Amino acid sequence: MPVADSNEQLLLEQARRLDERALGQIHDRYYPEIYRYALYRTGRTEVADDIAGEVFLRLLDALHQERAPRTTLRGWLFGVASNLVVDYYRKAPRESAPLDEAQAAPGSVSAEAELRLQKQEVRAAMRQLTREQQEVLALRFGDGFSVEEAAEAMGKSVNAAKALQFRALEALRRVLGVGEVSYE
Amino acid sequence: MSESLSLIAALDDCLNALEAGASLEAALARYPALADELRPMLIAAQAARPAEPIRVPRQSEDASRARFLARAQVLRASRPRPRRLIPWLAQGLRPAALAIAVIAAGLLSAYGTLAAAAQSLPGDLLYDVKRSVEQVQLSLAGDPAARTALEREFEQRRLDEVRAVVEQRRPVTVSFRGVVEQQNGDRWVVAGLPVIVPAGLGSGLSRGQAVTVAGAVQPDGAILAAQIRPDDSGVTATDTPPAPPRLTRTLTPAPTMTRAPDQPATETAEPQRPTQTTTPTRTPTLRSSSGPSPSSTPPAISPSPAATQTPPAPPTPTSGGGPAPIQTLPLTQTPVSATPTETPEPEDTDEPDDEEEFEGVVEATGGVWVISGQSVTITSETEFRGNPQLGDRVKVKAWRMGDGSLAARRIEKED
Repeated sequence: MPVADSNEQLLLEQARRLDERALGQIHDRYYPEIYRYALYRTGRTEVADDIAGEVFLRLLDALHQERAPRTTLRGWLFGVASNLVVDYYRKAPRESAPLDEAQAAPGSVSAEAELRLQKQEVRAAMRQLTREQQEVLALRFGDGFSVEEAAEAMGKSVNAAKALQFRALEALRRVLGVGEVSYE
Repeated sequence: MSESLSLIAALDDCLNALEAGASLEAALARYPALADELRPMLIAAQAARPAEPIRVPRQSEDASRARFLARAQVLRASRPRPRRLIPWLAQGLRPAALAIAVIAAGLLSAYGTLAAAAQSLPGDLLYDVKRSVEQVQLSLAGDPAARTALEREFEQRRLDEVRAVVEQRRPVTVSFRGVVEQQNGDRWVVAGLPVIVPAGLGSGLSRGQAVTVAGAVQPDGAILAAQIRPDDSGVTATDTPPAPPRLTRTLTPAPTMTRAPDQPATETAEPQRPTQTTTPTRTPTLRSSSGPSPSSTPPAISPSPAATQTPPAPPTPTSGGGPAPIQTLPLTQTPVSATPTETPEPEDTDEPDDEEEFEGVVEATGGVWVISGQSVTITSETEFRGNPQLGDRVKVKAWRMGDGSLAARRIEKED
């Protein structure tokens, strides 16, 4: 289980006292990550906005009630974000909008890609993965995390995160039908 | 597809290569023996990867940060502060407060007033005693009329206390009820008190609406709202005759407890927490940072209906019967050159002499703004354009008052 480094431990200690400077640093450091994660998972900027903001308000409540994160701050924040995404889909199960158009430049898909799928199809396929599989892909591709960073955010070992990533991509490949043998 | 350690490691390595800009074929060339298995997974990975990195809107981040830190400030202020008394004495004081209150109420109610004991404010050690005395007085009130009169007196007292701690820049949490008198971006005036309403709060609220505000007093005298919501009690906005529009020449903040003529108290838009709102017939409750409640958003106070029934006073200088002046300090904590405590001469209540225009950078905000060293008083007539903030370059139109001070007519953010 990853643990916070000494700098983050200090930041967390200051945050427990609701130190404004420490809280500001935490927000500055982690808000973009949480926002990108939420946008990748939901595809809606307004929902990502709400979720990211709510994550930090919940952090405050936890600090105030002395339920501060015990492992890593990043892991705690992504855990809350993940729960909020699940809540969002539970309340709006039909929501499966693609990433906002502004986030994807038309025609910029890599030339090597043999598959030009509509974003909706990919998103629908992603929703058929397990929660952890969706999370690891969101961290790797939405946030651009390395597998080590994704492991930290998920509270897993690096090897476990790599295996999860493998299974996630294998599942996605299967749902998308990539590489299936055709007998026509 | 097999799931071997080598395949798992190879997949991650290829993903990193793609991320670094390598082509699919170049990535696969690193593992020719595994290429057939890796290829479809990498294709799936490319389909799952956004075409471009996700951008985070600056506005979203800033708004979240403002809400986050505002909320933190309220929580911080709600935490018990260290007492000056030795711990055992401080700990024993709370139960003792009730006993003292009973005795004090017995003594003081004989004279029909609590004025002598009413000097403490939220954050003071004796504030609990003061509130307890009021509770006892209410319980001792013989008939409903006497109780109602007491309730009104206490409700007005709560609002006066908020004004007092705002004047003193006392970093405590306050909660009060009043009418939205101004909305200039995130700068509002509620019940004559300057309130900063971070983006995301207060949506749907309009000028003239009765609201309940909970927030923390800032160093500049403004109240940073952590919560602002419609007040459905109807007490605040229903009994006060509308104030005629007028040019505010005084250095006091906008008159309190007024409302727009055609805007009655609006029905609440969201359910209120029963523990946080009192009705006019109940004992008003104002919690300070030193109060007994651990709640981070203290209950609202109920302004005195008697106060709301009082016709608005004509414009007067600060020495008049209006609300207490809001003294503002710039961020450097050095007094500004023209503080609102200066009492204008009687002849200064006439129309302004000259209008001046200048440009500068906002150095301090609050009841008095400092713009490139120039102090400008904010009045109920001040118009804000473009939501100017600290550090912004602005254009100011202001009236030169008889006493030499400037009263802002318009502050406009420059592009």
